[in-house]
Amino acid sequence: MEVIIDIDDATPLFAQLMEQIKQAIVEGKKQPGDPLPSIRQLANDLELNNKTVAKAYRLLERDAIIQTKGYRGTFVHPDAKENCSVDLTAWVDETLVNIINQFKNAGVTDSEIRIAFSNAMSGKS
Amino acid sequence: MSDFILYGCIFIIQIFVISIYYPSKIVKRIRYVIAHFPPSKYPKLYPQGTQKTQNRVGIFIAMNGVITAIGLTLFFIIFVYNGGKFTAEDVGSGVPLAFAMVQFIPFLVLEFMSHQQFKLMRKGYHSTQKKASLAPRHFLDLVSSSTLVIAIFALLAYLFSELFLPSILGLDSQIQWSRIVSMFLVHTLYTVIIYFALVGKKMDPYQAESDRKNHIIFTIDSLLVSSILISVFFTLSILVNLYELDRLEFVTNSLFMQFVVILGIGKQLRFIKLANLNFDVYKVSTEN
Repeated sequence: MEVIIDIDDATPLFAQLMEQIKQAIVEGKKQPGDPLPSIRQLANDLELNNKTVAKAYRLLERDAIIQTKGYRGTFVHPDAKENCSVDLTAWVDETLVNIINQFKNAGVTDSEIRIAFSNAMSGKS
Repeated sequence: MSDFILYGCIFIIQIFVISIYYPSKIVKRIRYVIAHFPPSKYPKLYPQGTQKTQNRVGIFIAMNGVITAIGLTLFFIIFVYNGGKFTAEDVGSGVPLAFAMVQFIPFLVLEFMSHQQFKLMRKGYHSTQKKASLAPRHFLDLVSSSTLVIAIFALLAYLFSELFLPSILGLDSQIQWSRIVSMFLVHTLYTVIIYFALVGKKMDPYQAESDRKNHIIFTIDSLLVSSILISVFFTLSILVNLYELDRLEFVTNSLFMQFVVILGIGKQLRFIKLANLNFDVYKVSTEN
């Protein structure tokens, strides 16, 4: 199973890598428990920065697609196939739109929403 | 007198094996590739065209020719036209080792030229698409367990011989710390080479993943075999010194260098068969 990254593509490299790994799992080419290459091996093979591959792995681990077991390496998560169908970004977008619509229906202005969001992100509220 | 004749025969065989037989096999292989995978159909294999490749082959042949001539001259002076000056005791046991170092120079030059070729291939690789396998490359998955066990056993046998055997046999002998340091440095170097073979960047940007895996397997295997040879050679040297079998040193030194070539270069030529390599990756494509 090969991953193919296009450095000219507008999609960020780490996102391309994440998508390819998810695709391999969904298509059954990688099964739960299967080992994955180390960050260094994949970075050198794809001629990417270690940090790019590390970011992809970190986000995949957050989404429970892969799991790192210390010195033993990285493996496909037991629930990876189910978790691949969960699109975290789409969920965030949908939830935010719903909340913003609720605020607007309650009469909150756009600038008030922006200030509240900014304060929430910086932890000031 | 019989030792003298034995030394002469061993030395001639060394000249033949290292400077004639295996170089001719390498040249034949390179010429086969040029003939069956020409630049018109496989341009990516020849970043500078075939003339440069032919020049490299010419340099390799010339160097081996000169070294063969030097070897035969040495043989003639020491073993034939010595006017009765030399006996077996006079022939330095270090002659095979020292001459083998010279015989290895063309192989090192060829290796350097190969690296230059790969560098040019990487420079000419303009594809925006990067490919990688999702299969991890672990040392224990790629190494032959029997070879690894033998290498570890041989190393332990050498260390035992160096550190404990003289005292066990009640013989007076000093520990050669230079040998122990050499073993440590050599095995550290081998570990680094294996590490970079497993996780380092591709030398040949077009190489198919299966060919790369086979190349890594061969690299690990050849380094383990080299480790076994060095351990055996050092152990034999210790035994030769302990039992004052200095007359065997010339033979063991020469045979060691010959085995390094037979089990190194010879094995590579047998293991990596051209028919099994994927040369389609060097064909013209719309990609790059």
